Amino acid sequence: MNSKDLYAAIGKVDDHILEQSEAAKKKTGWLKWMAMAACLCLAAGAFLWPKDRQVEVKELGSLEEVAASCSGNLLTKRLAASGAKTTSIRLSYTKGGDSSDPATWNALSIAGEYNGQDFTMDCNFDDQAGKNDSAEAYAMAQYGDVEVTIYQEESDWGKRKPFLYRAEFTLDGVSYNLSVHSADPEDIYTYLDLVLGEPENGGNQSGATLTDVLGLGVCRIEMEEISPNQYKWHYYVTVDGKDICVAEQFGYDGPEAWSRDLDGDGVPELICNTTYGDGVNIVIVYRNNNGMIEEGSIRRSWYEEKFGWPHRFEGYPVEQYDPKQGVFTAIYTINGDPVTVEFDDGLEPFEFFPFEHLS
Amino acid sequence: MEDSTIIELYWQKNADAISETANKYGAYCFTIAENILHSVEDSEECVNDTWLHTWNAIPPQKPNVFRMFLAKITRNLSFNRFNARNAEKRGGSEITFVLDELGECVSDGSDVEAAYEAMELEQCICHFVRTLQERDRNVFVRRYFFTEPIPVIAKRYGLTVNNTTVILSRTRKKLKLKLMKEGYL
Repeated sequence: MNSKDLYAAIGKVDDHILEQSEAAKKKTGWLKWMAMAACLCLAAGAFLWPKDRQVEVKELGSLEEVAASCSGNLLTKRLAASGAKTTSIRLSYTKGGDSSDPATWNALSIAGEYNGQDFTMDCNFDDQAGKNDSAEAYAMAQYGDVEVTIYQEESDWGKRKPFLYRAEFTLDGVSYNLSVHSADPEDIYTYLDLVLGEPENGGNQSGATLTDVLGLGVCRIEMEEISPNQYKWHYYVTVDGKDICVAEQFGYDGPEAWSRDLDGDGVPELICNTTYGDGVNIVIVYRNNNGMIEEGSIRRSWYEEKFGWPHRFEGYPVEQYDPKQGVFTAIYTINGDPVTVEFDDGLEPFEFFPFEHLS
Repeated sequence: MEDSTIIELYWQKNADAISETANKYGAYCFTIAENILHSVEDSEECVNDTWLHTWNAIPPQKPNVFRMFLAKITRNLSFNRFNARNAEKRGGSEITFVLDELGECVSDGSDVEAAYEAMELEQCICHFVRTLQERDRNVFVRRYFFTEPIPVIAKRYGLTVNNTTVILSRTRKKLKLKLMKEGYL
């Protein structure tokens, strides 16, 4: 079977499914107006709401003050620790309640500046904030268990900052809305990295970062489109003022890379789920071997030793690293049946050789 | 003219059936052919061949969804022409990218390929497409049935190009797993 057979087979898809694909369209203007009308109704409803649900607003002096009151608000703590300057911190809480009691908090809005860039962050503690349809998202990113949806909107801040990049996510029941006005989509990732830490999957934008790679510090990721919709990501660290590429990865979905210490030596390895142009999915691990960067892939002989897979089996298993479980998975078809295995054996399955960056 | 009336004309072997079909669906079928062939001349010929095949097929056939019936004929004829024409010359048309993308889901020279009939593969694909969520399914068929460029699909459904690419990539991965499970790979 080849791609032409597959294309021909897709030609037999049910008529009603094809027809449905023609009927389905993006949201039309009147739907948006309906949505706006609904918002106005909600706003009007807020005025008619019983008094005990009304809120009052208090200006706070510092992020530390917020962090002290709400120790669970991780992002506020991180922002406070980062040295971000705040220009406004507004807390709205239930009218008549104790503003130092997070149970009464309704919303927190922080505006400030970090790294020369203005930002705003809104936290909604009722988790009732209207969420956009992810279908209209500009990009998605995964930070640990937190799924982040990024939107791009036109901004009225002039040509230097033509877009508003807005990231939405929910953490511990609090919904967050982080936004920056910018010409560069990478800026929103800078803030996400700051408040959520190391990205698990930084989208396919250049400029995503990993905070600790191969013991060499922050790593900058650059994206290169090598064929339509297929990308190559280059991972750069700065050593003695020079940018050095320490890893590269192929794929379609975004840089799926994670920094994990697989051999317990205190220096994290870089694990990359790689998809080549011919559709082969393999895991490549990069390590720092006393200053020499090496790349490794799983030995075929290891599959034979560990799982008894046939000696010199043909084709490639579908390999992936699962960052949530911290295990590797491989699927291979033996005698017509797909066999899936999971393993977590540190670096033992891997065979390493020196990494050479071919730019 | 209503589709049912046009079909009735075919059953009566009335030649107006072809001109009515061409008036109503000429541009639609041309777009499908053009996406595959990337050639005005070849696409026009395929569309004309579509009318001939439709004339020969009705009767005895009585299509439920006439537009999709025409779409499938146009797609098949265009793809056959593409195969005949492009033994050497590839590149330029959307179908080239579509075939490359689908190439991720298959592996040439599989030992088991002879064991499966094309019809079984078609049923497998139909089942797979039915199981997809509506949005992903729509994006998938616009790309791999209608061979539409990704920016066109994105615009059609109000998605970003980036998001559309991600949806397609994930759906291809699912398809590959399905084909592996079913023993095609």
